[in-house]
Amino acid sequence: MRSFARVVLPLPFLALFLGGCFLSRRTVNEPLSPQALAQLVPGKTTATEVVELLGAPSEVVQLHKRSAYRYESTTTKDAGLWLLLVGLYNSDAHADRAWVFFDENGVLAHVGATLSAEEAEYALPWQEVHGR
Amino acid sequence: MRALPAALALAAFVSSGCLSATWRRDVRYGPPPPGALESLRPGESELDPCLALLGAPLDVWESAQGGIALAYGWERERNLGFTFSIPLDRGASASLNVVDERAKLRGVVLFFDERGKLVLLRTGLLGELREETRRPASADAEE
Repeated sequence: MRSFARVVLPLPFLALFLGGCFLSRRTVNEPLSPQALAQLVPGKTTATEVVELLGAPSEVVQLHKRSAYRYESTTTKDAGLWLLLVGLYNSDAHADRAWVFFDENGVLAHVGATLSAEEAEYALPWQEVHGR
Repeated sequence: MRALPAALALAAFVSSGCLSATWRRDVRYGPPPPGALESLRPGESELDPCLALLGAPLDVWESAQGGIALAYGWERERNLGFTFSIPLDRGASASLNVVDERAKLRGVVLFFDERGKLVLLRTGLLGELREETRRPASADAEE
């Protein structure tokens, strides 16, 4: 009985060191194409042509008589370490995003784009990400 | 006496589903380039150079004055916490509302007039700034 206790009782202690970890990558929508964005010409490209180039927008906003479309693709990289009672998690989300603004005639007036979805990183909470 | 540590470990083992300590960091998007916001001048800066400098905003809406509001938001948060939970419900929702996610972020909103000239910068919670400054839908119906 005593030898049984010697074997069984330390097992929960050993379990403390048997943690779990995970890496997860989530992508919402297709990445934006820099080549397609480069073809957008303010004052010339129409809303129809923008949709032909970039596809259906994620959001359409009415700005009185004008409008704006949002195109977005988000990448989220999650990393976690689980040590029985202690969980360590890091979540890093970055996006490719473009807003295209149209005048009242549906002609492209302004474009703003950020392509940074690929900058998302796997890390643990104490590790440096994006140089900070 | 020897049994005490084992009992504590066993208690920890069996309660691990509902008791936990977490250290969590969430990074959402990046802040504007250093010095970019400071370089903007209300009354002088225009929409196109602002878009070129700051990139695509997180959110866009029509301001109450009829101009355009561009919202830039980002987050870098560290949280330490202890959680004790008892599951009471069998159901769970994995849905994510993108608009709500944006509204919870802090950041800066740039307000442009109808000619595309920067008139104001405001910092704060993007959801609150949006509710406070957007043009009400009833204004369009009245026209």
